[in-house]
Amino acid sequence: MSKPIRYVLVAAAIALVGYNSIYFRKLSDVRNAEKALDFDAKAYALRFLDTTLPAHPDKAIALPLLAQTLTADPARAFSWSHAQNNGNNRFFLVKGSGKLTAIDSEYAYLAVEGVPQKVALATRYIIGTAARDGSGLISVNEFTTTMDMNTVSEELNKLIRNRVLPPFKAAAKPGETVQFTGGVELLRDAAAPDTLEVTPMILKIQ
Amino acid sequence: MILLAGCGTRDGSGQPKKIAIVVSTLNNPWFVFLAQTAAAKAKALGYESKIFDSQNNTALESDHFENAIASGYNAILFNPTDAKGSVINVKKAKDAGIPVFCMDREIDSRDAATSQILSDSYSGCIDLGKLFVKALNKKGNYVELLGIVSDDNTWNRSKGFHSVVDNYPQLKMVAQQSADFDRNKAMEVMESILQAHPDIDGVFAGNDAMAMGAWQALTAAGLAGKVKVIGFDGAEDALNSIKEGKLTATAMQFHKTIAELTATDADEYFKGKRDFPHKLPIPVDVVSATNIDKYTAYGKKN
Repeated sequence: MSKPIRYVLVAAAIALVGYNSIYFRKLSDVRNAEKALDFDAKAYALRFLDTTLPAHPDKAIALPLLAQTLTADPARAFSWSHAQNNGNNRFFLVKGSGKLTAIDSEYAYLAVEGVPQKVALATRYIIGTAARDGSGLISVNEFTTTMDMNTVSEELNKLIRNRVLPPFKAAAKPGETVQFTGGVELLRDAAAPDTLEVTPMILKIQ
Repeated sequence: MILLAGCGTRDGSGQPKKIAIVVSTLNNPWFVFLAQTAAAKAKALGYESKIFDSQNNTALESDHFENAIASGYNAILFNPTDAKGSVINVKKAKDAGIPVFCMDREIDSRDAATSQILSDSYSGCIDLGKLFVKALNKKGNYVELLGIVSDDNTWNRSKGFHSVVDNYPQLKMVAQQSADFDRNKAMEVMESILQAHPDIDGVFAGNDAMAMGAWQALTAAGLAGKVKVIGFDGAEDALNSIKEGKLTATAMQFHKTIAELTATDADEYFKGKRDFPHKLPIPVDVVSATNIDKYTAYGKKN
């Protein structure tokens, strides 16, 4: 075989093997592509708060009914609760309305007819998974990783802090009537507490 | 007949079915207990089993999967080393017709494993975060020791803790470093952190082994007792330490429950069940001086 033909064949072989085996892409492009595949917890939380939750008013238990049943028939009351695991911490989605009796740096306190306990709407520390788990509408089995689901909880709490609470805190005054939907966390093995703390998700001053 | 025999505890030749138990590491008593409990449950259900130690090495884990597939194991009970990196191993087994049941650690896939039974680390660390805030009276400097950064448990614990603690601006995290869930490494990392930040009030460690390592470093620096240390797992030495007034708290994972449920899933799979929940979170309990009497190493007293 003549030298030129050999060179051509070698070059063709190198081109064939080398084609697309080395290529350059911007790292930012690769990261953006990965990001596009990432779960968008913020969008999920926004959709849940704005669309899913208002579409399921039946998922919220009237707070007076829950309060009375907790005393009369705790097992029945806890049958309305939800959680991602079968542990002692259980979550309820509740609704009701009550008169604002006091406001401090952490809570707005309500007197709700038919509820013997003090009702405290959390207005500063929005902590835990009551907003995510109370309704039972969000399940771990929807998510690729538990981290995705846990990030939803954080985003929901952020939305409550940054969107639900500021207009309420700016306008709320003792004596006014407040309509609320929110999450409540209770321990299955403990007696009903003296104060029911509600993580507010929908608030309306009437 | 062969087909019927293949659906129960025995394979086509009448021998007990074989279950491979692939565990991330046996260099931590927690995982030793997890693996041994799974093996004991598998035996009680009528299966043969063998434990494989991945030594926190994904390549070694891949070798174990190759071996399990080639050796004709009928199922794999799996504690992964890497949430993302381990997915390929599970898929390989699935393609070979071998169901994989994850225990304690998850993989980043909904459908590769037949089931995934995990501690609800995030919720447990919310409770630990609340306790930490109270123990430090809402202010002070603290250190966080992370586990293996490629493990979802590491971040679920960290995120649960921060979802509470970050609400208190006077609680300042002065250092956050990984010690790979390892006691000796945690001691070294803590010693080095203390050089730069001797004025700390708290340590949150992603597992008990690291909490114990941090405690050793704090003792050597003369800071034991001044600094509140919190772990996660419910390991024997951590519980003893809480009893002695050293560690402030831990979160009890019920790995006996996790291991036994995982082995039971495999048994039910062999008997025909297919509709397993993709992920099953198991609750964890916060254990501190106030309720330590209710708990024993790795579980609750009967």
